[in-house]
Order: sequence, then structure tokens, then C-alpha cells
Amino acid sequence: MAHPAGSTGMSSSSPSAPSAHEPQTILVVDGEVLIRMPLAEYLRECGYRVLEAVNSVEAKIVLDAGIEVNLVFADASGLTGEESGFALASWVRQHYPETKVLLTSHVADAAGKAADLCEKGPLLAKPYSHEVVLRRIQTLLQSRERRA
Amino acid sequence: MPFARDQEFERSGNSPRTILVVEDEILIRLLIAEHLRDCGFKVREAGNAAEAKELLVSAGPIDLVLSDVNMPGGEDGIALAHWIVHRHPMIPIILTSALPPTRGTNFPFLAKPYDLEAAVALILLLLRDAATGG
Repeated sequence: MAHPAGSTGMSSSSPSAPSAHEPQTILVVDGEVLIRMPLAEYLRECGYRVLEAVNSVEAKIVLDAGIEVNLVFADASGLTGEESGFALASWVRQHYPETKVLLTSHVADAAGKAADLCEKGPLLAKPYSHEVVLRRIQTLLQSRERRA
Repeated sequence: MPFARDQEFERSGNSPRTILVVEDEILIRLLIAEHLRDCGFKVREAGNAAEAKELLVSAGPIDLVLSDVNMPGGEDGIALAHWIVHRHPMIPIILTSALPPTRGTNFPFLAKPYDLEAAVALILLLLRDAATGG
């Protein structure tokens, strides 16, 4: 797939975009389309290539198709078991260890479990601001670049 | 090419038109969505009819809907199209499917697998017709 063109217009509150020479790819996984879509649009305006998945099944299809994904941002609330965001995060860690994972959830008591999976502290609580999400993503992706 | 000027319009920085892509097969959805973004459109993505309705109700103006016919969740693309006609009669609709439609429909139809450029050409044609009241 071709990488998307540059942003159509940056909002005045958008922080700095990632490197212009190679947009990084974020896979946003959330079954609530009215949460998923605005975040995806915001991240695209910040210069990322953003793919959207409705659930863990779709997310796995994307990754197994060989599409390079730098970070998976997934909702950990709602579904349980194999379809949960936590299960997806574990699966990503096992099969695609270079891909970062950032989880978000309404469920406060899942924070401890999420900390085992996410690099930087507990999961991101919903509702979140897009700017906070962006900063967390930038931190995670920059830590990958430092290790490379 | 008759639609080259239209594609240039979409890329020229004018206010982009918004296409809603409704497709349950993720890889197809991503492929068409990214191609349309590359052509200068703004794209909303829905994995099923329920998500499409949420976006149509709450996510701002949508200029055209491109929807698969056969989708899980109890409501197919034809039912969605009729819902859209009832609530948003000015929005052009294109239906897509690997199978020919089995019940009567007057909606423009793209047989899968379809050529992406052909899809864009049809989208531009319908948007132009909608703009001129054709």
C-alpha cells in the first residue's frame, strides 16, 4: 500500500510530527468507531500512517499480512479472553516483538496487568486526550529508535 | 483521461470530499481507504453497517458511501443503502460485491475484485453528478 500523503492541515495544538522521510505506522484497534476514527484522524494529521481495526481479529490479520506496524494502540476494555486487548498485546509481543503496544481501557483495576505488557507504566485510561496519546506514542517509538 | 482533472481537483488542496468505506474484510478496507486518501479524499472507515450508521449520524458530512453488500452483523449493504437513501437522500452510494446483486437495486455497483482506478473514476463521476444535481 502506498503511504498516505502529508497532512491536509495541522491544527494549532498539534505537536511536532514524526520524521518526514518515513511516516511510522500505527494500528488503532477499537470497537467504538466514534472513538477510533477521531484518534486515527488526529494521528494522521500529526504525520503518521494510521490503520484502523475493529477488533483483535482484524489487527492480527493486518500484522500477519506482512504490513509493517510500528505501534499497536488497542482498547483493552470490553472483550475478554482471546479477543481482549490484553490478549492481543501478548500475541503481538510474542509474534512481532519489534512492534510497540499501548493499551487503553475504562477498567481501572486492569492497570497492574497492563503494566506487565506496556513499556512505560500502566495503560492509558479512557477517556484520553489525543495529545496525551500522541506523547505516549512518541515516547514509545523514540525508545525503539534509540535502541536501533 | 476524462477524470484526470477531477483527480487533480481532489489533490489540489481544495476542501477534500469525504468517502465512507464500509467493508468487513480488513485488508480490502485498508487498501481502498489508503488509495482514496492518496487521491486526496478524506476517508472514514466502517467495518459493518452499524459503524457506518454511527459515522453518518455523528461524524460530520459524508459525500459518498462505498459499501460492501455482504457483511456480518445482520444488516447487509443493500439494507444500509436503503437506510441512507431514507435519511441522507443526497449521498451517492456505490455497492460492491463478489456476487451479482440478487435483489433489485438501482445503486451503482462495482463487482469485486475491482480496479481501484475504476472505483475512483466512478466516485468522481457520482460526486460530480451530485454537485450538478444530475
